[in-house]
Amino acid sequence: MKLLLVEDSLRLQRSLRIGLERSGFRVDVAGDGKAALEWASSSSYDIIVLDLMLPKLDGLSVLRALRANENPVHVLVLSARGTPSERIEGLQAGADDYLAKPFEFDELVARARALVRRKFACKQTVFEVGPYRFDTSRRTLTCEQREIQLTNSEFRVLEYLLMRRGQAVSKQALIDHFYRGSDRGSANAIEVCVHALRKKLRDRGQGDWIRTYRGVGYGIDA
Amino acid sequence: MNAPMSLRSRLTVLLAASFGALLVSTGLWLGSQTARVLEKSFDESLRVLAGTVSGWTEEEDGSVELDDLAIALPEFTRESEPDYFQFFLADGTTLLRSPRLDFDLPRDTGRDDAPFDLDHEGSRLRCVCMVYRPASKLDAVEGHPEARESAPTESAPTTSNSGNTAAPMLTLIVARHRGALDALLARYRWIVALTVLAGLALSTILTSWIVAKQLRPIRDLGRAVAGLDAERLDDRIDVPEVPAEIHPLVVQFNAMLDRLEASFARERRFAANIAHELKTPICELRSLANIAMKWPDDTEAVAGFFQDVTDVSARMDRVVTDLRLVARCQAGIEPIERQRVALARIVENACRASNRDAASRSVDLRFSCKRAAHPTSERAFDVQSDASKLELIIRNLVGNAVHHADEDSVVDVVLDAHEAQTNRRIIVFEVRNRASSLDPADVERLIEPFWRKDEARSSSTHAGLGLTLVMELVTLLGARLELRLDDGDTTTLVARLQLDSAPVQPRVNSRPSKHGAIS
Repeated sequence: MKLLLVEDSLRLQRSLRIGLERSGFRVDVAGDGKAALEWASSSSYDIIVLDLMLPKLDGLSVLRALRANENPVHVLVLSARGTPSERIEGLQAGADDYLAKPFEFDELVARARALVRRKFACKQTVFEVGPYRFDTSRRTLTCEQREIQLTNSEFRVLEYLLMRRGQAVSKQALIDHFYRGSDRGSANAIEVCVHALRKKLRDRGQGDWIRTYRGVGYGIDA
Repeated sequence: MNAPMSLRSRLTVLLAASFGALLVSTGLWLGSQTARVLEKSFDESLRVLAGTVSGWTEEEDGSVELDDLAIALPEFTRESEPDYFQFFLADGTTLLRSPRLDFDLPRDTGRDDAPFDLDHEGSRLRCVCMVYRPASKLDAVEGHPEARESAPTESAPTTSNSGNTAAPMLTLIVARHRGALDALLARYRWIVALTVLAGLALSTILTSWIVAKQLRPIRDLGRAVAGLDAERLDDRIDVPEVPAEIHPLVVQFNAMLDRLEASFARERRFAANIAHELKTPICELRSLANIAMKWPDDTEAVAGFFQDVTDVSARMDRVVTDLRLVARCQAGIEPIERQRVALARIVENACRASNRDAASRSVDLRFSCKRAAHPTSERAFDVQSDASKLELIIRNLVGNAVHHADEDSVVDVVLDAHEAQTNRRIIVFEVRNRASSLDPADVERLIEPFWRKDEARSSSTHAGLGLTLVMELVTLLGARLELRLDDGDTTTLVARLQLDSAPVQPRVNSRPSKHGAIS
């Protein structure tokens, strides 16, 4: 899932970026409100984690600007302002969720995942395809109760395709969601990742259920 | 401990007691005067009666005759409490007495015509005595002038022996029951006493009511004050409603509330700011700890996290150290080590230390030392002060100016001196930086702990305590700092530090008086 982290503290930026990426998100970072608006308008994010007290343009203004531009991205506000009135103000400005600082990292990840599920109108955290069981919260893929080891990239591709089950996902969409602006991947990298994933699935002898849409991309049947 | 008596009770008691004393004394005086007038009137009527009775005695051939009419008068014959008279001859024998007198009236009263009281069988009688020589019957009939001369008069009853020397001297005692007079006097005294008591009660009630009414503004003031608390410090007492006497009190009280409200607001802001200031590093530490514990095998990331933890704790330590120094300055327990300090060198070092920050923000930091104006002395900018504290002040002022100046702007640092008195100079250190985001109202808040124009606390080097600390140190050193906003083509913040190059002073541990100022 593609996430924009808007935080002015360099240390929080570093630690959260590492943690969120390890949790399966592809993370872009903006250090102030203006940069956040630029990132949000130039790329499509599944979720924005937004601090409120930002230099140049405060978080609430960023939020209002996003909503004024009819940007449907789900926004999780992360702020040191944690009083009920401040939470209400944040939610009324267009936030989808509010988490007060200091926070537990696991809670942040759980809330971010919940927002992603809401975006794709998907309440499940566990997907089952034949004998395979994919748990997004535990980040595990099992087949007949035996775990299949996946890399971070493989996990993210599989999660993305499962979230869009029954749809064809273009390679370009996959590139957009798994590579940062400054680190643009190629279609070839996506193909390599999908190939490795298929091989692991086939190794279990249960067949390959990732479908190739020729000239378009990939998908998983509903 | 007993509660002190209220002002209302004191005033009521004092005023009621005063009114009471006035009423009682007035009642006593009125009672005595009225009793005297009534007794005088009673005595007068008794004398008139005595005069009348004496007029009915005549002398004829050396003997005294009495008109029978006198005996027949109703005053002397009535059944109840009749009047009495008794005539005595000079030898003490009774010549005549009134018909209902069954005892002797005292002849020798010892009082010369003065009325006197006589107790007889439980009754009190008022008596008047008259000693006179009766007129001759012949003279009275013929109208001889000598007869008139010898007639008894009220004014001189005992000296009526001028003409008729043959007539015997008579003593007439006339007595009258004074029960009616005493009853009248008693009733009158009761009336006066009851009137005084009623007056006392009424005056007490009225006094209490008037005092309560007049003290109502004070009571209202008390209620208004009692209704104030830290949550309602914006309430004020309505000044036009209060009497002139407590008007200054209310004005001062309202002014005190203004100061209290500002102080509470400052305290709240301080508490909120310090909470916020600490929340960020706490959040950073927690996040670093959470993620490091979750993926401890990522040694490269964990090593970076440990470095971050070290930086965060160092920053928190700086904040606490600065806060502690501020507190020590405010408490007056921060010692001062005065010595000769080369201020120019300190300023140069401070500018050098801020060069990197200036370069990163494209700020042109310029230092000009007006040494040319003082060519005769190499030490034109030396001052007697505490070197470390002065360095802290200068570094903070220069560092703040560079850090908060508009990007791509100029920060001017100027050091100047001018002679004040012989062997004394005023050293002026001035920093000017463009600060287009500042409003005039912000200048006053610049020295508030943790106050920032931009609420984002992204700076890892400036916690918002710098100018607070500077102001406390300036005050401690007895210098003067002026912060002002110059509105020219661009908004410029000017920090002007004024130091006195005073001669060496002994080490001072006590806090000097406040000289810090903001304009």
